[in-house]
Amino acid sequence: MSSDLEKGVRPLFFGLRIALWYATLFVVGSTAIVFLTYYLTATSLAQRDQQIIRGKLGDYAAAYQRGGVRVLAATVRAEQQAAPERLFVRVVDRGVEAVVLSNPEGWDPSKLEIASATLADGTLVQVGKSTELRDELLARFRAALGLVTLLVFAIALTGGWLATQSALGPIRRLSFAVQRIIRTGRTDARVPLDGSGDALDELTELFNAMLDKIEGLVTAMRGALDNVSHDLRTPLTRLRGTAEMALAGPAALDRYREALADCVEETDRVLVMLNALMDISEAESGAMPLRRERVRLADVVERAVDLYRDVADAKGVRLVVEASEDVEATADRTRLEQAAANLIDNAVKYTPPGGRVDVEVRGAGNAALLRVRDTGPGIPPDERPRIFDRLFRGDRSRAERGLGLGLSLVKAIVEAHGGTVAVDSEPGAM
Amino acid sequence: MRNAGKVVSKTMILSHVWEYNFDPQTNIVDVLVSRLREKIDRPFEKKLLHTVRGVGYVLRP
Repeated sequence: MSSDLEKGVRPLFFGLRIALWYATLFVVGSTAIVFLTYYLTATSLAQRDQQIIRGKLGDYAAAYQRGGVRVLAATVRAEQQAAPERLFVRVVDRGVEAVVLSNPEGWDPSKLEIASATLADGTLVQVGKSTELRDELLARFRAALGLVTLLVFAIALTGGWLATQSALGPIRRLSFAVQRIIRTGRTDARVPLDGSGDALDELTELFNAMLDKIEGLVTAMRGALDNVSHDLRTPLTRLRGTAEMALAGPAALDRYREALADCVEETDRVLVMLNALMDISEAESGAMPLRRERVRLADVVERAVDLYRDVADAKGVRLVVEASEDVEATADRTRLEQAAANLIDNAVKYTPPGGRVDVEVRGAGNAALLRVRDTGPGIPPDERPRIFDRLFRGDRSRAERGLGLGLSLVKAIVEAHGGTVAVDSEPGAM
Repeated sequence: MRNAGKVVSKTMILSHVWEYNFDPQTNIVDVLVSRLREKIDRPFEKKLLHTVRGVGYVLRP
């Protein structure tokens, strides 16, 4: 259960992570802007204050020089009464005596923006302006900016979450589909496309294609396994029956001998079938070791035909070979002979007495062509695509003994060599 | 005549005569042996080629 839970939660975490990244970038960007704005505002406010007090300082220094402290005091008093904001003014006489001309009540000297001017006679004139208003303004500004930042963060997080949710939707559907398949083992589930045609849609399509392929393989394997089980059961049941009958009857050496011989023959049939099946799956999976060499196809065909000459003769079937001498292929000689022999076997087996089997070898461009034709009953169109399937036996072939593995083996060997097999047929009157 | 008196299996015959190391679907060896039998045994009273069922064939005077 824990792994199921984990699988369900992981896309959510993934979404959250992306949303957080998105929000972080957003917040870092907006914080930088906020800080810059704050800094610029604070500096320009301080500069304006400095300009004001420096202007006043110039005026006051001039007044002092005109008539000393008295004139300055009069000027300051006259100005301060009209001014909306009172300034701090003092004169320090050569570092000895400080005369404070204006010190508005409740002003904290530490919260002053001060400008000083030293006159020619060594007198120091200072003008100060309270920073209280400015600080208050900036504090309000800071609060507003903080609120804005929080808002931006919230918007970024929500936006990021929504964006990633909609982007992760197809991924989540894909993930759910995979989970369903893992849980149920059914490969017929498909992930719905959202029709946007984007990369995720493409991934979904690929995933569905992969499922199709897996489903096809699983179905084919299941079918093959069913067929094999069925085809193994019959000879094994006979085997058991024979042995059982021998044991149940009276003890007699001749009967035992007969029963054992039956058993050996039956076992051989099973072994032949199993060997062929293993050869086929080895060739299909690419595990079949191929000793590749230059092989003259005419030789291969000659040896295979030689093997079946007597069988064809005995049956009254003419075996005709027409092979170009110079057609060569790089192939495993034994496997190729096996394939050719199986084709001829099939042709001879299903050709009635008086018929004819043609084996032809010729070059076809870059490729080599081996064709076996017979005058047998032919294969109906609906059976043609299946004749290379494992253990498939056409309705008309059931009268003959056979496993339904010969042509599958031919196909597997030829395809392991990188070749192709094909069938063409006109069902005859038979 | 190397194996005279010994039972040889169909697989042995296949691999010795044709150097084939796989199972043919049709019973090629049976056909071959029956044709051989027609030639060497049928005209005579005394049979040489015997079938050992389930195992193979033996050449025995």
